[in-house]
Amino acid sequence: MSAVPLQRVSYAEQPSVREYELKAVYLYNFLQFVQWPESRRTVSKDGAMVIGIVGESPFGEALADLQADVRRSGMKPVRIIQYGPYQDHMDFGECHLLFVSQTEKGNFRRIIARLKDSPVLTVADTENFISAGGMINLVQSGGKIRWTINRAASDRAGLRLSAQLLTIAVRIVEGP
Amino acid sequence: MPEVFGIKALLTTINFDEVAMFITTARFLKKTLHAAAIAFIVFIFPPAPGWASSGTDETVAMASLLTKGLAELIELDVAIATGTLKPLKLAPSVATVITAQDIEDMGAATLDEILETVPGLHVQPSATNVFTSTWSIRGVYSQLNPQVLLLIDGQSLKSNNNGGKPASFRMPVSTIARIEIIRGPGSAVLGADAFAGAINIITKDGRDINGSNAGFRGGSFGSYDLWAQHGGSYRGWDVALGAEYAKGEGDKKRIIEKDALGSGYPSLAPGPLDTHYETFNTSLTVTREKFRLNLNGFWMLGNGIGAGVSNTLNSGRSRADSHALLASLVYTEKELVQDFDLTTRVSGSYNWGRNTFYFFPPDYRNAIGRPGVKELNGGIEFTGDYRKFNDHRIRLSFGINNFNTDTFQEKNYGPGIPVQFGPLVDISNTPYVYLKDQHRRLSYAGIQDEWAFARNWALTAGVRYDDYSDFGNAISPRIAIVWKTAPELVTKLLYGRAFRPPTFGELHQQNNPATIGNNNLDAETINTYELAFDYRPLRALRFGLNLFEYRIKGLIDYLADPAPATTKTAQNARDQKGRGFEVETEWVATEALKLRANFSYQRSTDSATGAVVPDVPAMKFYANAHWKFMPEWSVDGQYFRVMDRHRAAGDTRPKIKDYDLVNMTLRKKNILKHCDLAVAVRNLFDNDAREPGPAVIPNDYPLQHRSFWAELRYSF
Repeated sequence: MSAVPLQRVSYAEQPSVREYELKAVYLYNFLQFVQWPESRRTVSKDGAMVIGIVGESPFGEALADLQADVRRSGMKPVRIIQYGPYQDHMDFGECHLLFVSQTEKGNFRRIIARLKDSPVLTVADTENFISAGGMINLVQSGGKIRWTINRAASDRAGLRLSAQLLTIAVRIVEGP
Repeated sequence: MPEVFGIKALLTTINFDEVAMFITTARFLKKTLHAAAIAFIVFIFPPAPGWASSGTDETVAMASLLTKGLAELIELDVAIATGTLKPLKLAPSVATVITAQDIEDMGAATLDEILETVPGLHVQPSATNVFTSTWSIRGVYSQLNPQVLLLIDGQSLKSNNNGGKPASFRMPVSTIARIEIIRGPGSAVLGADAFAGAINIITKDGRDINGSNAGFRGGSFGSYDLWAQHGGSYRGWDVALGAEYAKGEGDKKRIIEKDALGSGYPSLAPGPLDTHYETFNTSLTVTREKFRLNLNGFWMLGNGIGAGVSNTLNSGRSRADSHALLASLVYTEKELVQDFDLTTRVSGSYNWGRNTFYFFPPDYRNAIGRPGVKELNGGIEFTGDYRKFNDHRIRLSFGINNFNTDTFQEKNYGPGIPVQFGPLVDISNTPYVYLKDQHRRLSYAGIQDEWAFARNWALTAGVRYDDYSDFGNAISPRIAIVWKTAPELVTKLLYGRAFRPPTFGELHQQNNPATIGNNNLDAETINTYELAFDYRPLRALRFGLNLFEYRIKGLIDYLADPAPATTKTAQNARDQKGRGFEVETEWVATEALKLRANFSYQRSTDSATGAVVPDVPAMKFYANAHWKFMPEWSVDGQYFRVMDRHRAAGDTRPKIKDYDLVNMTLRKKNILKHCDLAVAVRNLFDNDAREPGPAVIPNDYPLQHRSFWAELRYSF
């Protein structure tokens, strides 16, 4: 034997897709359960809302599928912007929701600072996102996915989260 | 207009020709690659009518998720990928993943059956190593098969003495959650022996099993299989436990017409290969947030050894026994310090093996040997994952392993034996033993950076240094460029260098009438270049094309010593080079019908003589259709064709005949409540398929004839 290397040979095709399919649907749902300030309510002519992804997207094909399925079933359309790895000049102003990928863990604070409390709902699925000032963090518990909410951050940005989002949340923090 | 002047000034600093040239070249390259991939694929697989597929399982799932409210969504169980897994198509290597579902679909009962479906990989019995299966990858082939690294839950399973997997290794499938097969070099990450390829078997955890289930399979040649497993969550601990027992008499019609003693008295030929087997397997996995514990046990209980150790039939008296116990504990501390994750892995293994060899039939000569080995290995490894820098993911690893081999032996012939061919004498720990006890320490360190240097581009560069206490060291670099050429196309360019250290046997074997070790051996090394395309024109349709070229230096082989000696001594005897390609396709034609096929071609030659590497297929084709023709019913068909196997230089026998095999499996879910039934036929047309044997077995080794099995699975 030999203690062989952990450096993982692991690549997954299916399992991660499932997880991120569900997360993609959550993102879409969040758009319906958050009220944006007047200034951001007017959206493009087709009424599409915008989800941005910064960092390496973990969603695989899930967001493209989401878009297609939303279109097919005549639901409120959504536009996806893939920003790629974070760079300081990036402007996220166009987004209603910004998903910050795990690969940007080192940049959480910089990204939050860049947004300067503008009305963009920030979402991630990484441990210290909330403490870095992010608004919603998706967490796993018992094989299910729920979220924690940083209400102070969403309040500062002028976003109003619906009661349902708040009641289902596993935890609500009031800071920083 | 100052602004215009500003821009003009700026523009003059740029060499437009260069920019234009760069853009055109990049576009041209992208278009050409794209077109070439499409042309190639369409050429090989002309589109069938009804090409455009309807929605797959996943889109259906997505659409149904959209109709659910938040309250419903949060109650859904999700399959969570552990760690930071990547989509396979972006992996910096050429890899195949086979899941438990795939295994169930194809009706495979052993690991060998699964591996044969992998492009570029061929399974055949060893002529010198107790008929153990050898897994050749892309024409890298040897009897002991140490050039392929087998990992069970990331922990290697191999014999220190021979380098390959344990003697007569045979693995059933009930405990397998997933198999990852990497073709090409893996030493930069995995170290020794990930030379032609690496096979990582991941066993089921509690969530995979989720409850209890048991199964029974019985079929031709007195074969049966029993398994049971349980998985669940207990106070936050995820636990999985599984066991499987398998036994079979082997096909007695696998007749060898002539063996090393010819045919007729005193030879027992014509007579059957001895392929009976009895195995027992256990697997325990315990996980909790930061911990993962794996215990895996393999018992080979006196398996038959084919045509015998000297390719002389001996009426089934010879046998191979071996056990392997693997234990590993992995602890991951995320954010140990900011942006730094640390994984510690402690592992240990115990291998025990003993072969009982009757070299000849009873009336010829009573030569008996019982060489045995006890191996105890242990190690610790630290892997750090550093994400501080933008676009970089740096992994550092460091580890130490200890390998210990104790030998024991009984025999009744040769030096140190008072009465030749008389009673067995224990010569363990005497100068007459086949191998003295051995020890080796390995220390290693590796670094790898995954750098997303531009949008849609990733560069993975790494190197690992391995230092062995007994023979020297090895440096294994790798570079991989992965380019998302277009939304539907991924292009990869890969280079890697791998090594295979000499085994204890190759270094130190002694007192053997035929083969002697040599402690001046160097490691075998291989340099491999690969160009790979992954093309998905539709969600439900995938094509892969992999091109490879490799050069091996210093393959170890036993060469004849100068006369009058009659022995052979281990030498870095040969260099080998090879090239070839693999084409793969997978099409989810409808929700109920899934089609797959792959074709592989390799041409490997001795670098010095140009002689083609014998005994391995130059071409291989596999096709599979899985059809759920009614709710709860499925039928699966497999077609294999193995082609173009050369003889060794100087072997005057005609080329080995190509063969094809067809397997069918019919499955009905819920035939009773919680009870699934399957029936299968292997080698449906009872074809005469043969794998190469040595010159003393002129008609080669016949494969199994037509066989049937039926299986019941019960979950509760």
